[in-house]
Amino acid sequence: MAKFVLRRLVYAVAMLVAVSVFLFSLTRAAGDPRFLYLNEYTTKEQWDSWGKAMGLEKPLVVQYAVWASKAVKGDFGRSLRDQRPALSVVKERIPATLQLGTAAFIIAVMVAVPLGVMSAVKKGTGWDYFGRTFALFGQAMPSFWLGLMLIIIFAVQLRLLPTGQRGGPDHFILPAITLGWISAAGLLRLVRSAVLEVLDSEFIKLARAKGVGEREIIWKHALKNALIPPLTYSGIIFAAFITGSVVTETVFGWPGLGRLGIDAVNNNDFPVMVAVVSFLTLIYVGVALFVDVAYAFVDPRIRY
Amino acid sequence: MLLPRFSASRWIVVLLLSGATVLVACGGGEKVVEVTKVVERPVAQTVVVEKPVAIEKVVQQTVVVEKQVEKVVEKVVVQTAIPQPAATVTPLPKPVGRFVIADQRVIPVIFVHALAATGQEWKIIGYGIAEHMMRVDKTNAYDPKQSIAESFTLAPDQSSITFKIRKGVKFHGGGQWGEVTADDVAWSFNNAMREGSIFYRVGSLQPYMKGMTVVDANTVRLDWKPGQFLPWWDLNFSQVRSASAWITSKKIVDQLGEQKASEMPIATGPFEVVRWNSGERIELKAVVPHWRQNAGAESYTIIEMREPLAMAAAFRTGEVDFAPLPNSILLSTINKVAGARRIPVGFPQAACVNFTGNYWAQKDKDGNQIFPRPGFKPEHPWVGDPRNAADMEQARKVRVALATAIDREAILDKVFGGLGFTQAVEAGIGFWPEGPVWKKQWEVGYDPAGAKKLLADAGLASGFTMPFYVAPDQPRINLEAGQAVAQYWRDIGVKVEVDTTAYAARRPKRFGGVDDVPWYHCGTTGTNLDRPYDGGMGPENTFRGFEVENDLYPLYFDNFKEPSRDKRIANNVKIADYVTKWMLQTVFAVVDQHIAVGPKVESWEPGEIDAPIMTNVESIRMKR
Amino acid sequence: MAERITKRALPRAGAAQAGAVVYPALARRTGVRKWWAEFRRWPVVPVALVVLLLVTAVFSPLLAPHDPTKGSLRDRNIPPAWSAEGTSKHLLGTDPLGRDLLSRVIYGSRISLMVAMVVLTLGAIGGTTLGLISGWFGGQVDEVAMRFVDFTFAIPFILVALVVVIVLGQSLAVIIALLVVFSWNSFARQVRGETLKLKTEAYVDIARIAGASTPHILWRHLLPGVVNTVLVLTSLKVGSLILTESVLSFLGVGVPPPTPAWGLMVSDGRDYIDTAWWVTAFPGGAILLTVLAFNFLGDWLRDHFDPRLRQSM
Repeated sequence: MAKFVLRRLVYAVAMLVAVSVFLFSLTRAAGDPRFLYLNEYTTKEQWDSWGKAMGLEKPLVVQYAVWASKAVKGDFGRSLRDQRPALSVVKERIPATLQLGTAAFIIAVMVAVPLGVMSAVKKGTGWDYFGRTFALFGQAMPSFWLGLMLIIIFAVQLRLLPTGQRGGPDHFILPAITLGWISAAGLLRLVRSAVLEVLDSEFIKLARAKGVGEREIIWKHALKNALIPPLTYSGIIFAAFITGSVVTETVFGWPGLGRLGIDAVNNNDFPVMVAVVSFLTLIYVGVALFVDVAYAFVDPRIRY
Repeated sequence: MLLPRFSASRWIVVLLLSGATVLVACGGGEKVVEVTKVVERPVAQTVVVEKPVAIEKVVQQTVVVEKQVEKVVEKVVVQTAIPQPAATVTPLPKPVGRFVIADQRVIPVIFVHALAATGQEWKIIGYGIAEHMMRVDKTNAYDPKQSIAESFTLAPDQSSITFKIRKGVKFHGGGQWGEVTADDVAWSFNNAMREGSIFYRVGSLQPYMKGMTVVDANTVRLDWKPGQFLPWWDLNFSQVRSASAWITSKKIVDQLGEQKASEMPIATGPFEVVRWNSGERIELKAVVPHWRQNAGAESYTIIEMREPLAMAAAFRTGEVDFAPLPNSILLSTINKVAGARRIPVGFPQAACVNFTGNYWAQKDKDGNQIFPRPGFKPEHPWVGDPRNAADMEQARKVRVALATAIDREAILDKVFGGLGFTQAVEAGIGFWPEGPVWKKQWEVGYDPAGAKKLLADAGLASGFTMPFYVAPDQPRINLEAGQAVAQYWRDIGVKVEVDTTAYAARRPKRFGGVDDVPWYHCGTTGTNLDRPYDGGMGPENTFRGFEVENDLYPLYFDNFKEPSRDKRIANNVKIADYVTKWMLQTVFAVVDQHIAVGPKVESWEPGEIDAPIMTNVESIRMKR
Repeated sequence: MAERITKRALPRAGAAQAGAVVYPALARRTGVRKWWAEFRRWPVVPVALVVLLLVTAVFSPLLAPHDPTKGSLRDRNIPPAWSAEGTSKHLLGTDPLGRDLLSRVIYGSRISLMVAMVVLTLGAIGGTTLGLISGWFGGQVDEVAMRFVDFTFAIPFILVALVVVIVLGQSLAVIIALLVVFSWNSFARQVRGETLKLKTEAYVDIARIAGASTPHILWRHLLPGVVNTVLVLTSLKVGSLILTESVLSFLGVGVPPPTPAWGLMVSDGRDYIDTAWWVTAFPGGAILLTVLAFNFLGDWLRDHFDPRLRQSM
């Protein structure tokens, strides 16, 4: 087990390096970071002196090497826009993103698992159709449209919830729904099919034949086995929440990593962009690792 | 299991009910804002202002300010200002209430000038956090009672100005950073102009000023670079222009170093920063008593909202009191909120198309041959080759065709809510039809049939391909307007490829004349008529993407030194004549910028500024 | 009940095993009636929708009343024909630039379908190839290939898409290329998993012993086995592709305007959701119906071929 974890960690580091090289070359090819400071009053002398300060006359490889040697020590450089260490800019945004991701995750699981089970157990009835329709709608709506609609309905028309921004518990609801619905949909389908599959299996039939109560069958026997594939998937969706929340953050004005990343790209703010991508990749790899290990615990057939 | 033995369906019901209860509990109880259902019906008072009235307003402004500017110039040359007694502003009643401002971008905290380059630093002044050295009154005359510099003396040869710094201007932070001294003022300017500074207005300072020197504890002297005296320097140093450095404390930098000091928003304004979360919100509270003016409200918050619809929603629910909504949804939003109104800010902004690629300057300032520029591609139909008169004429026809293909009235009406006007010269000055200086020949009409004919005359009856850059993330650039312009061009047979990549990434390149993509630019107008044509248009200043012929370029530099105001205006007229004759650029909309103001606001008196932002927030009073 | 046939003597590639029920009664019907009975078990509504989509996409120029890229600003935001200010000239109203909404929605089906088909075809081919090779050879090849696939999963697609569009410019070709790169990884992973399972089948061993070359085995034996998986995955991914396109448009790096693409239309109209609801409602509705149809179809296909696939898709 330990060797497995170690291998995955090494692999994670390798991925971070690969991603950073990839992004570095792309962005330097993309644009001159000085454009961020440019306006109609800038003179050529200023332009040149900025270039010297940023080391832009050196070849690309040298620039990367300089950057990499610092990054290894945890110094991702200085945000070109914020003018302070890129790492601290990123660190500030982490709590907001984690909180939103967790809220969305909780909502997704709380809705998807019961509905999925209901949908499977009561297959063919109203519950089933409701569940499957809910799932399908979730996977067919652009999230920014959903977010704006929710704002209009719940905040403006009904005055039940705030229109956005980070704040108390009521500020979490609409963004979490917007972020979570799509994944809840996928999770629901997965739970449904997993439960259906298990309910059809031999040992459940045996339990029924033995006369075990239906309730116990569902909640004690079926669910434990049915939840393995959804477990993997839920790990992925949590990672997806962290990495893919940019739309929700923009619509609700949530100060998270997604928006930070987009802004960094749009501003040619390479230090922040790489810091964001590194962190997101780290999260993804970490979650994947966790899921694999959890899998191993839950399913005794898997051994490393 | 310890849980009750419900069936699964019962569990669902329980969960959903509890969820619903939680929802209602959170949504219902603690809101301070009244949850009364505001009936949304159009309110009689917010009538859409008809265009003639709007223009009239502008005219009045122009005329009044016009006269006063003259007075100021005379004063500077003849006299030195006399020290005035200490500020005896009648304090407003104690600050009461709080308000919320929505902002499309909450900038990061960068208080050390040399590092401040987000391009929106003027917000620091407008939001009442920091102050410039001087202040002018409503007629743009220096107001010594309200300025940190309580008096000044201009050297007879105009090589320097000596300022006396008022005593008793406290820095924020509870007193630990003391008062403003000459050290602080000098440091603020010198830091903004230091080597390697990326200060967003370094180009308005460094080329003209040598630096500030401390004469004594309360006196500084500003030295101009030889021959670079700016006749309107006092306006530049005041709150109506962005071309200055705000005053911060040198002590902080001495103690903490530039990096840490930059993250501390300590200055002298009527509002003090309590919390600043870049990209999210800023919380401020009033400084009481303030040396200049007590704010009208106790505290306020600035919240970042990027989506216009979300901002409109927040305005409608009352979560936000001031919303800089785009004109396209401004009027409909205000109509839905009883007691809301719109208040104009800043000067009208001139949206224009720059026909990049026409680099016609032969030599630069030092006499070096620079023609042809790398971005000079005469094969583009809109680019004229100055070596070939026929080509110049053909390209001119193309540009005129493109200019007259645009239905300006429709764009103003439909995209900008009719708030503004359609003709102007984009130069940072007040050349527009209702102003004192305007020529009929500068007007551009709408004639798509004529445009098509012009294209055919130029040998391009079958059209051509043209790229067009529209920045998606700049506050004054309107994507819809850009798309509309492209559409008008398509209507006359031009294949337009609109590029909407982010500004910092794709923005037209400024130096060396390398760019060849026409682009949508939005420049400010103003009420001056005699300042240098904004941005010049020569090799030192290829911001717009074209360079005028060498005979014309000196006119731009002349306006920095020419003592006669009439001559300066005449120079600008000559340049405008040239630009409009050759149609190097065409303005398609001049837009009034507005802020939607909510019903809880009692009053607010915005001031003038060369940026479409909130100003004078200290004058905001909320209803009790 | 008819006897259940749970196993056949020589399992055909792709045949379901325990759990599939074969109705012997069907085997007795012949020709057309057999075909009709088979067809009746298809999900009619989703199939009809897909067919409608195809027809609309192919015959757009005939169906659309106006040019989708032309319009006059003076006709901005006209409501649908059945409202008070509507006009019969524009049945579904106009968008913020005055272009006919019905025409744009019709032509939008072209773009959506074309993008989906191109991306999924290329992605499927590339991903399947890689998956087959990786699964078949195993060992180092598998390791490296799967690590590479993981790499593409880990990269935040949106950020990279943004950077690439900035570098290469905004064009349909660039968008399609990006989407291909980021969709073939699901195919690779899925096909690899299937290949690993099929590798152990008896008929594969037989083929190998008989001396068949590797390409032959991959092509004639394994590929048919994974085709069903690929089909299911393809139809399930149509929806997510269309949604990804709309997110890219929201961020400003989607299909270049004025091309009518549904996602771009919803994104462009999002300032007017409450004042000109039709601008976003109709393209949004088109997206909804299309995704519903394809998802239903995909679900049905999956259940039809092998319900056990439910666990992985």
